[in-house]
Amino acid sequence: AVPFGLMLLLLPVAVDLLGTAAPQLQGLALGTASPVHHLLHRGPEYGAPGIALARSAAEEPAGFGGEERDAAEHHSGGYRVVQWEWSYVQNPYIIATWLLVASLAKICKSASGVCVCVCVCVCAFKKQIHVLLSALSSLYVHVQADLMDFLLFGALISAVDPVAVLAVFEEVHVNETLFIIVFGESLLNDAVTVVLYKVYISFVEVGAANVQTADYFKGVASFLIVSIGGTLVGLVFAVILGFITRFTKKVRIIEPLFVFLLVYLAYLTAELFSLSAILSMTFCGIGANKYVEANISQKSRTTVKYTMKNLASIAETIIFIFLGISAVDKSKWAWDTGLVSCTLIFIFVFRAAGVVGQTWLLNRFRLVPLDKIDQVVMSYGGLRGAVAFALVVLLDGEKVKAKDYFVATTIVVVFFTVMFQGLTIKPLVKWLKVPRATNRKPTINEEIHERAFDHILTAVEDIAGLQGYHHWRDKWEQFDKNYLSKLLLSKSKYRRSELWEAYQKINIRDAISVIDQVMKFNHLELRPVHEVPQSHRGSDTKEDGGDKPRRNVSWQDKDPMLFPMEPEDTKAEHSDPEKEEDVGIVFVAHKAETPKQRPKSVPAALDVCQSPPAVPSPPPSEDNHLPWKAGLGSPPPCVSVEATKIIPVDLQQAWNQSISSLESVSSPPALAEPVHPRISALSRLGGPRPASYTPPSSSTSVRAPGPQSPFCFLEKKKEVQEKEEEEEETGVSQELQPLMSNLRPPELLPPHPPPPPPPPPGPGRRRNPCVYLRSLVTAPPPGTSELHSRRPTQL
Amino acid sequence: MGSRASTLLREEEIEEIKKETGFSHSQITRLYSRFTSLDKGENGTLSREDFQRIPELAINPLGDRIINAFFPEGEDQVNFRGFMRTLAHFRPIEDNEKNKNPTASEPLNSRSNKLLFAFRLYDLDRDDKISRDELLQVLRMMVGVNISDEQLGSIADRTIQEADTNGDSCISFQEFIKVLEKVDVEQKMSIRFLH
Repeated sequence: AVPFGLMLLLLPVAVDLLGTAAPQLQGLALGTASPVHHLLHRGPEYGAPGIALARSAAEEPAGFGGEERDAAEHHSGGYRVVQWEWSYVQNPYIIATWLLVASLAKICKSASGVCVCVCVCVCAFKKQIHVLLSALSSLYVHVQADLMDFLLFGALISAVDPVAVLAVFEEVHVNETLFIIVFGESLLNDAVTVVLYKVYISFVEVGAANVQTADYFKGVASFLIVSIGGTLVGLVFAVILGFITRFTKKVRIIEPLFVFLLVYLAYLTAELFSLSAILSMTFCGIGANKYVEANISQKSRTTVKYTMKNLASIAETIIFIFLGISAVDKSKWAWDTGLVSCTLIFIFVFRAAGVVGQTWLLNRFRLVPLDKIDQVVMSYGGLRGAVAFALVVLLDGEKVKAKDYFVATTIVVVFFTVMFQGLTIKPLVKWLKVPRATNRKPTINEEIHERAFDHILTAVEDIAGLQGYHHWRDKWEQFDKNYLSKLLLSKSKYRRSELWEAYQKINIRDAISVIDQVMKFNHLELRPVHEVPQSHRGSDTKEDGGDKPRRNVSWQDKDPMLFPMEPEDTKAEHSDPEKEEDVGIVFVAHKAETPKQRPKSVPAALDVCQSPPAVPSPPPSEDNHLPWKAGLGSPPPCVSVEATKIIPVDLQQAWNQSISSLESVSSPPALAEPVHPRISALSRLGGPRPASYTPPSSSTSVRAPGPQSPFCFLEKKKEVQEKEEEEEETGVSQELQPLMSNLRPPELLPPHPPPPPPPPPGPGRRRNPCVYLRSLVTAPPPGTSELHSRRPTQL
Repeated sequence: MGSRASTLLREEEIEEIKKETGFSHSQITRLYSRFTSLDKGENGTLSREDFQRIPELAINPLGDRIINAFFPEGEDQVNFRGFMRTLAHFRPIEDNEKNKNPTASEPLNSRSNKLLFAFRLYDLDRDDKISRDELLQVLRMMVGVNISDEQLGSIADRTIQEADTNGDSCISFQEFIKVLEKVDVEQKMSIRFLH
């Protein structure tokens, strides 16, 4: 994106020119007057501007036409019905155009939106070495600068950029350890770099000769104070934020506001005391994460996450655009080959040296040592970015005579690292076979046993008298459980158990993947059902065979294909649309009646369910196979295809709501799973209907053993929860009954003795994955005893 | 190393322990001093009460079981050799050990020995199977009071079903290994013994 953005940046610049050229306005608010004018005069000498201007002609005709009209407007009196208000909108217009162009470039460039910020392991020493040796290079450069100036330059050029690192590593998906090391470095870098910068600036201002020894110590002390102080400020605000979100149950809508405000206040407070603001924000986020995430609603979580991402994208785009503009503004920099080339070489060499040295030191204390490949990635990922540029531009030209040379060098360095290193790091990672991040979701066994391992290791550490990692972590967890969580977590969340939450997540995930698999292999599709079914028209939907079978969301389809045996029920169920508030949609699994029906398309549900032999065993992909039955190749579970309920709701709205909320709920860490958006729709089954279920003759429909157990579990879970949370009469509500029934398969897999289902099995219960999922999804309702008022967003 | 002459560690013993467990000399002496500090009775062996005096173990959900794991079958005292043998399970697996003579017996800290240690914590009756009840007990210890019995039961059922391949609704050791094959056991069951 950045290379494109830089090339295309001239487009908005051109817009700007044209908007203002006519009245010959000087002093544009954006401060780009001088580069703009240079550009204007140089015209098509630049290759890129030629393209840009041509583009601008095509894309921004308004800009062109505007200025002439603008000039004309100024001189004519009278009342104008329509006026050209360029000067009024010019600033935001130009900024927005820039952002748009850069974002478009990201689309075109697809994979490599490289805004590089690399987190480098912070080490002031490393910078010093680099700086001193670069000072030596002054022998080869013709820059008028002394040691102090070079120290200053070294301090700011070593600054590795968090934005760049984040962008690169998010694309590259290296394993967690590596990412944490590199990203963490860039975050902590702020404290080090800015402190060093300030220290050296003050030295430079005072003059090299006047620096006393005490000042060096003051510099070190200042570093400690800035970083630790910033951290503490952040942690204080984290506590405040956690405490506030504990009470926001009634005002869910402004929860994101609290989050943003307090984090911003943390930033400002740190700036107020000239402490490290980035560290403050970082540690505010780190500290508050656990409590805020538990306390706020799912919607708020989504809001915060995506707003932040968007803001970050905007900010990084603007920074790099600004960088690009400054690059073409020749008045601001002066070229010196020696300095530039030496700097480029040195930053690479010394970073590598620093990484190797420190890794050697760290490996003596690490359980899992950092190997060569990690070190290569860490040193190669040292991308400089906006921080360095901002700092160099802020230099005082009077005090630092070589400022222009430094600016030029910085620009070249940033461009080089961003473009070259940023673009090549992905192939490098692939070539080196760096262990990538695994998005594997843990199974319930892994969850339990890993917890057990933690306890074991803690105990062994205590027995052996070692105060190691586990010992301290356990101490922290005790402290957290006894004091912090009581203070910062809302009551209901405090009582939750992590293992139970993990178990629920696993169940939901599995149920969703099971349903998806069922759909695929039985060529069923999920359709929203609404309106009285008129006929049994064949569906006009198709399923791609690929990983993302599209669900048919044919809003205009008023004739959902139903099984011949149940037409009456569905008609009957349409009779009371009013009962249903806007809480969701019912999806019914229909058999896709394409012209080429599979031979097993028999109207009886049983036959559908007995299709398993004809169905190929599930592909061994992560998403599709029943995780706990890996390798068994069990037939996919059958779906009882009888329609259950039909709810005429506002499908559009409900659909949108359900997609968004369930998407994030059912798969918070990995929204990429193709299953979820569609299954989320499935899960968004509507609220209770007094519809009558036909006690199915298919209650004996074969169900594959695997999925039933989680259904069984979930049902038990749901039952328990409902008992706990709603004091509901079990089985009283007609709604609940079919739910319960669906959840409890009467017979489980023959070869496996089924886990005895404690709840009393009811007669003629049907299992229907649709309704099952619905119940699954609506598990912890917000305490209303009225089922009807369940909000779709509650999970 | 303590002033009790009768319990001083002899060089030959250190060598033997080194060979058996793979600890280094300094680690062994360090752990020996810990052993003696735990050994209030000063008889060269530890009893269960000695372990229970460690305060942090009291709040550890699996504390009792781990203490049990130190004591060989049916005995009430564990000597230093046994102490070290159990601790050796938690040594990190080193690269050079992977290239060892394949005919040598499996080192105590191999992956499968680590898993066996964990397995034995679940399997109290030593029948080489984790039954549903045994699993429930461990879960109840780990989870505390916030979950009802039914919920716990469903977790246990699901766990067993996930792991069980031969249909006996118990988890055998092989199934246990298989279900944890993707987990980095070498890292998750190792602690760093300081040099």
